[in-house]
Amino acid sequence: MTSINSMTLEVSNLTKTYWTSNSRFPGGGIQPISFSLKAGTFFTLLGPSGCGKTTTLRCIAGLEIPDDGRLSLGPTTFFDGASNSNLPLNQRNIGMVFQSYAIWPHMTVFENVAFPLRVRSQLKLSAAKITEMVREALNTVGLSGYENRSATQLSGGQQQRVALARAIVRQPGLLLLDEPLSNLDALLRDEMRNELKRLQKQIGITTVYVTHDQHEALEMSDIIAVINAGMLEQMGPPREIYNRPRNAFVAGFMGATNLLPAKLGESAGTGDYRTITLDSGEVIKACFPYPIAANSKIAVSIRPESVSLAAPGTAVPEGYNALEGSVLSSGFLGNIVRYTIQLCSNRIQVHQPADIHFNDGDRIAVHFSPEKSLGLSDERRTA
Amino acid sequence: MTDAVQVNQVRRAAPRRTGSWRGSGIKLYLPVVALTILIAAFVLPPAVMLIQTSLTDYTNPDGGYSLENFARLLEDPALYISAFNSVLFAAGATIVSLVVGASVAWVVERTNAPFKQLALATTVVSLGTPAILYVSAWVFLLGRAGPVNATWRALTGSKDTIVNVYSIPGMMLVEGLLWVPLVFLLCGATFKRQNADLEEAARMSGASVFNTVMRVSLPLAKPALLGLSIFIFIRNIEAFDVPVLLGTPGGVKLLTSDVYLAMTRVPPDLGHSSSFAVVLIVFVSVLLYFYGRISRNADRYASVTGKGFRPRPFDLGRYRWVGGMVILLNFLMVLALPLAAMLWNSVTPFVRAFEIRALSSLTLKNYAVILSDPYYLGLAFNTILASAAAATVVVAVTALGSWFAVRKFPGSQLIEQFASIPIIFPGIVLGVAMIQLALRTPFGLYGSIWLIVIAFIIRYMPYGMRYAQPGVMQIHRELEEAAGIAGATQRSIFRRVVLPLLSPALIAGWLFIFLLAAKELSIAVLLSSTSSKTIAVAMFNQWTNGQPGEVAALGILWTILMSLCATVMIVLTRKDSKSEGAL
Ligand SMILES: Nc1ncnc2c1ncn2[C@@H]1O[C@H](COP(=O)(O)OP(=O)(O)O)[C@@H](O)[C@H]1O
Ligand SMILES: [Mg+2]
Repeated sequence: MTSINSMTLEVSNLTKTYWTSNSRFPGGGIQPISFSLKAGTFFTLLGPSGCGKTTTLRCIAGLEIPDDGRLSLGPTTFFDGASNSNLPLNQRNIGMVFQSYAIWPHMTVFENVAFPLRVRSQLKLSAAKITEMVREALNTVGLSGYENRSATQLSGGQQQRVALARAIVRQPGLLLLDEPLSNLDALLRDEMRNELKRLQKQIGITTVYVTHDQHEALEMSDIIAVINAGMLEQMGPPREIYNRPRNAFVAGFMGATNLLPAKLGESAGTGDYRTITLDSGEVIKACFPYPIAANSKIAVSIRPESVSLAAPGTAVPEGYNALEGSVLSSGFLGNIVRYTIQLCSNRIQVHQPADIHFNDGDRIAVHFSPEKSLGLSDERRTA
Repeated sequence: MTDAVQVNQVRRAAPRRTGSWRGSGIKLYLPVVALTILIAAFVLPPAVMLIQTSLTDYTNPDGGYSLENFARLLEDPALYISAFNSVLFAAGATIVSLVVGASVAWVVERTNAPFKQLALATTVVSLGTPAILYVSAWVFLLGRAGPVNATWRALTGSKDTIVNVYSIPGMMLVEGLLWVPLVFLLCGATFKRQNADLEEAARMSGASVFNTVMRVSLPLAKPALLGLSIFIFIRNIEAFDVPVLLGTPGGVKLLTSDVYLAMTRVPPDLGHSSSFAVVLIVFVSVLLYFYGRISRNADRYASVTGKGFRPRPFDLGRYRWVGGMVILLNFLMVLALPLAAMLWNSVTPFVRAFEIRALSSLTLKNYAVILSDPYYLGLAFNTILASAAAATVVVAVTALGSWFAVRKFPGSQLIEQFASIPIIFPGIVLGVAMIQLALRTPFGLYGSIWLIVIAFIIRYMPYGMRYAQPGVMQIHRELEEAAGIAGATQRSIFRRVVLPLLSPALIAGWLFIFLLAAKELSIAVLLSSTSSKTIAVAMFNQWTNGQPGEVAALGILWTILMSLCATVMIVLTRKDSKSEGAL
């Protein structure tokens, strides 16, 4: 699998709305979404179930006709709403792995993988060439020697590999993966995660990956796009998404966090530190990674691991926020202890090293750095 | 809210794209439209023809269209007597087949009773046996000189008979037993899908076996059973064999036999039989409407089943033998007795009762005649040709048709409707319509075997859909989408992915249609000529000419052949667990 013709994927203002027959409002879909992927990028669409990830992927694949926008891969235009042109999916030269794997049960492993080569008669491949390409694809995914197995006799992980081999066998310009790991058990999922990433780098193919699992997204991606209710919330490298979430939704979706609601008096600029009064009345200092207009609803996001607990009256580290509360409950997780702390009216989760111990009901001081207290927009989009 | 409205307006302004991933435009429309026209060309002419004839007053042929036939029909008290008889007969027969068939199905599918294989074997053999054979067997068993009445006389010393098979109760019994195998298969599918957890929960709560069955199992199966009973009722209203073979000699008139008699009168009364037929169609359509509504509800009930459920048989405990008895009794009534009677008849030179001294006169002459006479070979050839040709055309058309319809190809909306139209034609009605069509076609269709083939195609089109449609639904969409992405055209998706995956359902459907067509009497009896006779028609003629020995021998041989086909079909449908057999 060398000489892969890796290409740039351009998506601009892609729109697709599903209308149910008797409603005046859309029943789902995606709002205009745009992104541009450099050749070889591992790009992940991340979001909760039903947010429109699959819809986006199916539009790129050609399984759905978008309402509007433009799609192109390298020099080929897949879809252009303006000129109403649509390239049929069987001429797009992309590989796709479906959530159900979609392995044809009446064919052997070899025949499954050979299918994309056989149905394109214009390629005019000789039988020997087909055999060679299939062997190579199966070799890449680690399934050499399984050629003559019936596809139905394989385990979940092996079926997954067949689906992958079938997707890459004719060296497509783009690889699409729709929650490929969600049907595997936990152990296999971890293994396949690494394997997939390694394969993608080895082949160097531009990849669009769909998942609802933020750990998968963080570990595997070059770029993550977080989608919520059909809208793109934030796009960027994993570290940026995790450390500087665009808004409260992204912060909440990218791992555990505490969101303390507040109202912003005057507007804040990028990188500003502001002292704000939470809705509960407590006053803290927070950092604003993005500009926010005056009088916006915001939420202050504090990750559980950024908080430390101390006995009341302990000295507060220089510049830190300090709040008072009591321990509601605690759970021992091995490496850490997870506490639920009751503040004035909010409850927060706190992770502490296992060697520090507090009892339920203890009064306690909560310390955290303003740098780790992110003031984020929390405007609900539609009521 | 304002946001949503805005979104709404934005969307509405955006262009609506036509087409799907399967493509768009003429290339996609053309095959769909062509198939729709083909189906319509089969199913619409008979309907039009029937209505046209029913509106033509043959006593005054130049008078244009009139409702004269209907007026005459509705004035005739005979119509009401026939309708009443038909309903009574159908209701009784439905009860017989449902009680027997459902009990056996429940015992086989849900309990640990012995002899389960026997129930299946009974069904397999009966599915392939022409109705006329059963009828002749029962006539022998229950006739004046038959063993039942003979025993009765011997026991009581009276000169009377205890049963009269040429009466409505006798007809109910025979017709009811005829439908037991199908009820068994369809009920079995329902019971198999029932979640055993629900029954076990009832048992855990302290209910007895009887209480569990009455309070849990039966209510759960009720919608499905109700749908099934309407379906069997419709089939019984349309029944032809028993009404003609038992009703007519016994002076009991039914709607279907009236249509037949009006057609075979000299000269045939086309207008009368057509308007009769239209009345019958209206009747059946009303019933089908209710059937459709009920079976939709039944599907909702059936989806109660959850993931990972596996039906566990009910432990009957000490009462296992009762279950075994039910199966044995079914075997006796549905298979062993009639088959024994046929065998007996086939080896006796003339009809005589079961007697020890008759043993000396046993002969294989009937078999010798049948196996040596090329006439019979011709019959078998005609029957197999007509049934196989019809089954092949139906399966081919409906495989493609259901793929178009289930995958919602543009323009495919009418396919399912058209293909279902023939379900409202009782066989005899279709026969009447086809005769009229054939009389008007210039190219010698009348009396040819192809006329029968066409009639069979029309008749079994809905059955083909019944097999092919669930088959397509079972194919996961992504299997087709993956093929599309791999670069396949729609044509090669159908050929390389859909067709192979559909083939078990198609083969089972083909065999089912073949079996039904091979024993179909009501259509063939009107359409066949001397050169295009089928086995069922030949048996009917022999029977009415009083050659029961040859009927029996021919029947036994034919039953063996057809049972082999039925075995293949059952094996295939059982393997394909989700297909429930066609209605
Ligand atoms: N064919 C369809 N018709 C109508 N609504 C659909 C269709 N496919 C998806 N939707 C709706 O669009 C939304 C997004 O679906 P999808 O893209 O499948 O979400 P996910 O992010 O879980 O993959 C959902 O609300 C879903 O109900
Ligand atoms: Mg999805």
